[in-house]
Parts: sequence; structure tokens; C-alpha cells
Amino acid sequence: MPITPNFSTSQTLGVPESINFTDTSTGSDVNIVTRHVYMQAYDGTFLVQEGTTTDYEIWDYAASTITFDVLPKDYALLITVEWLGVSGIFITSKQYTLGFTLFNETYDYQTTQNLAANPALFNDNNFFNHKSEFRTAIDAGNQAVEFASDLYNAQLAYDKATDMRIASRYLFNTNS
Amino acid sequence: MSIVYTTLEKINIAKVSQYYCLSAIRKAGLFADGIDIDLPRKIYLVRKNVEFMYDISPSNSTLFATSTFLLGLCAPYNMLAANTINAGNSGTISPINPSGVQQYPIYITQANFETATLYPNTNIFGTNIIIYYNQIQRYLIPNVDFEVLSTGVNITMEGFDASQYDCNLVIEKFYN
Repeated sequence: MPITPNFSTSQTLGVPESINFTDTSTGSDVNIVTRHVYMQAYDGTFLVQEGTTTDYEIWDYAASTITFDVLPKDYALLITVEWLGVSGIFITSKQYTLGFTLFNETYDYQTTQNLAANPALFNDNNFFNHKSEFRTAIDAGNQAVEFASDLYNAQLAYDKATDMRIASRYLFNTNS
Repeated sequence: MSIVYTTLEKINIAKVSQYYCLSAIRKAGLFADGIDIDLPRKIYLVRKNVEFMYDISPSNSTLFATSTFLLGLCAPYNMLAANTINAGNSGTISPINPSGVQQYPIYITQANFETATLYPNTNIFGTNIIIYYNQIQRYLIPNVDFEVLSTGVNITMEGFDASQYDCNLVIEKFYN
């Protein structure tokens, strides 16, 4: 049966800088020997691991899963996986627009842990308003990716949330 | 009886509670009848966080505290929501028929007889019953046409033979 290329991605709690890839293709092609993974941001740059000099990461065909440590923050990415033959001959590819939000989602969850420990925080208008704004930014990024494959606006929204996370000590008074 | 919800049930209760709360605010009078008009948004914010953690790490040890806080946030709409989604079924008690308590009426046929005249049932003894005999279209006369023994009901009507002929009887309890 000819190969029907496909892949899935995930992130692992506590490792927000990494993306896990799993090959979910069906069928096979004896000519395939390797894969190339392109992770392109809204501005056309490619995210690669430290030390990689190409625009892509290499994913050996013998491995069904692989993890790349490429994210300095939350990103909306156009991810392309190419299945290649000997001498890099192109055989097939699959492409998805995806959002990776583990940095900000993890922080947002921490604010809920703070709330659970100190429910009165919700009465602090700054806490509630900022938490609401933070959530809106993440949701907006996710929706830009899911509904429109809009990398640019998704990244704008994710960056808004990232800015809030970095400035969190001024925005979320967890001691009140 | 206490009801213990799973994390997934708490998430689903929160989803429904959010809308019940919103509906209550919409229908309320001046100052939303004292309902916190931010409550639907608060439920959403916390629910998204709990849902995120449940999706990425369902056995995470912090989920109990955060999901319980979420459930508390849903009050007083949580019970209505739980009822709507039929959550907490583990806490309900299914009605059972206690052994030794006979349910009436009893429909018996030839197949239920142990001998030509004895219908075995140790739960009837001591109870006032009447028996309708369908083949002759009348009630049997107590202590003339039948007798109640500790072992069951014995049909003493002349000519009755369940081993030879089909019969349809209905035993009913009566009070005097």
C-alpha cells in the first residue's frame, strides 16, 4: 500500500521548549530513508535546535517519534515534514499550522493553583482582569491558528500573553 | 451520601454551570439579583486551566485541588449542571427487590407447578391472597379451591391437574 503521510505533535508538561513528533503515516514506501522537519514562524524564519545549520531538523526514518528542543517561547508554526529517499529525493510531505502554548498555559494553570489556595484573589480586580486578558490572548492565538491558519495574528496574540507572563509579578498579585 | 465526581465530570459540570449562571444573570433583576456578573467568566478561566492540565497530565497531583476549587466556583449551579449531564452516577442507589419479599400479582402457568397441584413459593405463606383462574373465568374460593401452605399454594379444586392441562392463574394480595 502506498504511503499516506501524516504526523502528530505534542508537548510534555515541564518541558515547554520541546515539541514531540510522532509519525502517524499509513502504508509504506521502501524508497524512504529519512525525514526533514521544517518549523517555520510567522516571519519566515525557521526554528532549529542549537547547533543545527540547516533550515530543517533531520528525523531518521527508523524512529517513529522524535523530540526537538526549539521553542524559546510560545509559537505558532507552519510545520512541514518531508519524507525523502536516497540523496534527498523528495517522495511526499505533510504540512500543518499549529500552536504551541505550553509556556503560557502552564503559567495560567499556576495562577489557578494560587486561586485554589487563596480564593480571595478573585476579588482582586487586577488579578481577575489580568487573568482574563491573559486567557483571551491564548484563546485568540489558538483560534487564529485553528480557524484561519493565521500565523501572524496568532503569534501577536501569543506574544501578548508571553509579555504578560514575563511581567507577571507586576500583574498578578499572588500575595493579596 | 456523598457524591465524588471525577475530574472530567467536574470539567463538564463547569461547562454547563457557566451557561446556567449566565442565564440566571440575564433573567435576574436589578444588580443581577446579587449574582457576581463576572462569575461565568471566572468559571471559564478556571475551567480552561483545569481542562488543560487534565488533557496533558490526567493524573497530575494538583488536579484535585484545582478541580475542587472549580466545582466550588460553580455553586449554586453545579447541582443543576450535574443533573443535566447526569454526573455522579456512582453515588446513586439502584432500587432492588429485597429477597423474601414477594411482589404481586404473580402470574403462573403450568410450567410453574412442581406437582399436579402445588405451586412452590415459600414467600406467600401468611399472606391473604386471591387467585383468579383464567380457564374457568372466576376466582378460586379460599380453603375450598386452594390452600396456602408453608411450601406454596396447593390447588385443591376437584379435577385440577397442572401436569395434564395448561393453566393460567393470577395470584393477588388483598388487605382486610
